[in-house]
Amino acid sequence: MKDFQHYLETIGEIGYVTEVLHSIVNVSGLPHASPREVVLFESGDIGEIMSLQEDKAEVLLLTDKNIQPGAKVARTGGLLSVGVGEGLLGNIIDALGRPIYGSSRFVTKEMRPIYIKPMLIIERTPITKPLETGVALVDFTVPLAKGQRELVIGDRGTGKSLFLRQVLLSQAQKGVVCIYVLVGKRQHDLAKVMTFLQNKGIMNKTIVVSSNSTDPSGLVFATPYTAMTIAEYFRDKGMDVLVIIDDLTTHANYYRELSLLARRFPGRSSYPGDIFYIHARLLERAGSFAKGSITCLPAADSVLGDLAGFIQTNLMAMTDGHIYFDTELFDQGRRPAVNPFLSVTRVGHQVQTRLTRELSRELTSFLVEYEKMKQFTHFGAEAGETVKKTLKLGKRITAFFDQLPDTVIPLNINILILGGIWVGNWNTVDVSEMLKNIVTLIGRYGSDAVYRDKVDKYIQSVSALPELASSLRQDSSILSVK
Amino acid sequence: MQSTLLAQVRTKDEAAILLEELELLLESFYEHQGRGFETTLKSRIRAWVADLLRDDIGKSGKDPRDFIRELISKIKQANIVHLTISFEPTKRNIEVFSDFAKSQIKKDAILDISVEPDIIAGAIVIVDGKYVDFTFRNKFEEESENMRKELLGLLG
Repeated sequence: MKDFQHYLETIGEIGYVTEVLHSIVNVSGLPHASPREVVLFESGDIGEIMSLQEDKAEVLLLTDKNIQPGAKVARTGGLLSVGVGEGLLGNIIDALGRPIYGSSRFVTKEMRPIYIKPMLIIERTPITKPLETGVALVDFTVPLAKGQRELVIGDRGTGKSLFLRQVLLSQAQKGVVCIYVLVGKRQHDLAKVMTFLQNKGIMNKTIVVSSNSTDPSGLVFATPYTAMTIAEYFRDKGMDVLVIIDDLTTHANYYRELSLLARRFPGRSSYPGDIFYIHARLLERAGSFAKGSITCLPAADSVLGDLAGFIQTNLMAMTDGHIYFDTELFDQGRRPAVNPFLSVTRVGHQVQTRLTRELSRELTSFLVEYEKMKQFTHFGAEAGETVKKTLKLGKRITAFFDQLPDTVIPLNINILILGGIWVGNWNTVDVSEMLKNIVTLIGRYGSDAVYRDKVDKYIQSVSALPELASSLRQDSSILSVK
Repeated sequence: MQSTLLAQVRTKDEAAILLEELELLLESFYEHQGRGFETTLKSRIRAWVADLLRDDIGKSGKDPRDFIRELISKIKQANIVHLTISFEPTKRNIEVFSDFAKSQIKKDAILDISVEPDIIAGAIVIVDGKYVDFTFRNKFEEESENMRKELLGLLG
């Protein structure tokens, strides 16, 4: 961006700040200003025109310096844009594309405006590729696909961010470009993400777009749009991109603050009337396209498990499903605390293979049955053989689904292990012994290329669940840890 | 009808002083049982202003209160032309600039003059948000940059 004097002389228009309202300033003059146009203050600060009225323009500040009434403003003639390119990989940037927190200097290929219309239906393709999260419970019960928008929702402190990092790890290891967005978070949260990415060695496949809770509200508001613009660049290069937005309820809060300062009429819960549009136009930019795909996992906080909140229901309406993190399950020690009965995936099942789809279906039915049986035993009634078998199997499956927060497990080995549990391969040992064996198998799959190849071929050769079950019953040597 | 009094207002400072006097006159209608206007006009308003005001009110035939309110409104709505020059202008300069502004830019233009010696010569004009730089500063900077490059070329 050039300096103030340059724009003043080139465009030939000047404005003066007449009123300052925290992040919003009213500016007189600028007769030919356009909505969303970027303006430059004499001090070098940047703003964006929010709205135009007869005698003033409302400008949203994107920098945090103190603007005084009487300050001069010049138009730049352009929209808010961000530099995009492969040079961004491995860097942490803010909503204006500037490096922050020790990022190295980088070169971008082109500038793209951050507020654009989503692609039309005609430009989209059906969703056909599965997306492995690396979290067994989710991959089986709430499977995801590339190009899907899946909301991750739950109370604070239920493990949503940990789950999102697991998905990022799983996808980054597969070569997908990952963009992690922190919206109005603490610096401590950014530090945790950075440490995670560096320790797992996936920093070079990830771009972090971050805004601090102390940043100007305008900058926080623009953060997810910047991330989506960067994602679109890589999509246009033919790549699959994963965008994780943590989180959109904070984003809604910042937008509410801006709207109230701008004296917009407050609606439900004091949110402005266009809050749905603000998020919909962001999430609709994700999807499956001819060149590539953008999978979006926005996170949202709920309060005391209330999924009927305003922002929460808005986001559920505009996404292709949601993964619900249940506080009760979290308190019971389940990790991840995903409630498969209250979670939904609208497009995940259509991309599964027949085997995984059948396994998924059987598993979900079984889990429902298992929950009923658990309720039944609370009455202290004597359990019959069927009930005992169900409870035993359920306990093992639940133990299998408990997963450490920094581990990801590939789908094929998950299928094999679950198949083994299903057919009773570890029925003769207790749960802890079973888990030790499972850990060994997963470790072997990760480190032994021969074993990995064997498992992959085995899973490919099996097309349906009954086939898998009978094959494992006949010969379960592939599950042997020796 | 263009007030002759308004035609005499050339700068923002003059407009501010006149506005103060007119506000005073407006309040005076409610003093001394309606006789406050004349008293104030004689004792607290500048003589030439009082004379022109009496003429204008007489010619317009309007109620003095309405006339003064209209005049105040016109002054407040007047177009401000910001002028930045490099020297302190004399009264004659201001008259010339004001006549030019009223004839070429806006009929009711009022000048807001600021002095900035850095511009060397010429003027910066800002009206209705439009900014035009007629200064010599940029030209001198351009020329000096060109000369610098030429000299470096010769030396290099």
